[in-house]
Amino acid sequence: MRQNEERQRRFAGLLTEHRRIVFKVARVYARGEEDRRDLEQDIVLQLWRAFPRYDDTRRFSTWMYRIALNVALSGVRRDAVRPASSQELDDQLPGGTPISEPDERVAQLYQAIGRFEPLDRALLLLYLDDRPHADMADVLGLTVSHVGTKIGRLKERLRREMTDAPVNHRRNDHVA
Amino acid sequence: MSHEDWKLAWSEMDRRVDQQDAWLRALRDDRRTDVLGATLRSLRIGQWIQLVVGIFFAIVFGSFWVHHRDSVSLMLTGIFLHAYALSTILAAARTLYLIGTVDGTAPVLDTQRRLAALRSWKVREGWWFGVIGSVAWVPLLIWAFALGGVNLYAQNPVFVGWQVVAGLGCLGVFVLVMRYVRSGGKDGLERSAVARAQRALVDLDRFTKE
Repeated sequence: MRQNEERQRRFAGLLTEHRRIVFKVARVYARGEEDRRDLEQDIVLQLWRAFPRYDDTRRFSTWMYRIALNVALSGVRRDAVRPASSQELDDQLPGGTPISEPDERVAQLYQAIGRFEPLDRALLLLYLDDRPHADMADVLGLTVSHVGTKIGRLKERLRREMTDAPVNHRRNDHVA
Repeated sequence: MSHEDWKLAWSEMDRRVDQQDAWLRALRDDRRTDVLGATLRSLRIGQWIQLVVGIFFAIVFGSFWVHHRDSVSLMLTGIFLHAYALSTILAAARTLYLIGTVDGTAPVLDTQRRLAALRSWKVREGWWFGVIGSVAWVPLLIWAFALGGVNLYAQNPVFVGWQVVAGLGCLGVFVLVMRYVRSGGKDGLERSAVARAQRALVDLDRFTKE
């Protein structure tokens, strides 16, 4: 009982410290506010379930990224069976979660990232979070050199996507 | 806006998120169902039920054809049903194995590949049981009559012949529907399990090869 309480306290501490990971992953993969809250909840639940198997010698943030991205990517696949009407609405919202974002640059980034394929989004997220290539490779299961190559291509594409920003602004204003 | 500007904006957002205590509190208070875990759990329970039922019928059908070796029609019926029951056992065992390999804490590509393999297997399994199920009711009918002491094939071969024709008709309809679904002929069907399983594998393949 006492051990369980200790574990809960430790988990809560680590989750609080790294909550930005849950927040950002959910925001990149969810469609709308409700979906985002569901995804955040799903991620935290999976983290808690897996926590007893967490190896202290590994970085918690890397472990957390793996789980959060796995949950989010599985959710993206599940969403593919949503009714066509809901899908049409989603098509109008190409970016990440269209919630109000006070920083226009971040809003633009989310919009641009949302146009990437789900697995590419994962890599971009890690890149923007300034994770070392070795960490990215560990989270995704790629080699470090492969990560480097892919990051180069994704940065170039992101730069192109960001040049379409004025169009996205209008869309974001409409949605928010 | 340069790459450095993006990263700066991103890190500024981190600071904002860190100040959102309400977010974590809301998350803690808002207890929801673990959707992915629940899906895998219900699939696992379903497979265990399939395994137990499959073993039961493998014994029943196995003993049936052993006891009817004097009648070719009944023996072949029993062998077909026995093989069908064995295939349900093997399918359930393979699904359970694939579920067991899915680890949400493993590297993303590894987990997603395993999930895609599970989905792909479930689609192929659905095809297999759909094809066999379209015609399996004919030997099941013969078996049910035989339990009552009636050899349907010996007493009314024409009737059995028509059942076989009807079974082949069902099989033809099933194959046509599946081909239609697979081709993504209609928007509603395009997002079928077949399409999703294929898309997941294509996405993973693209990501690792690019």
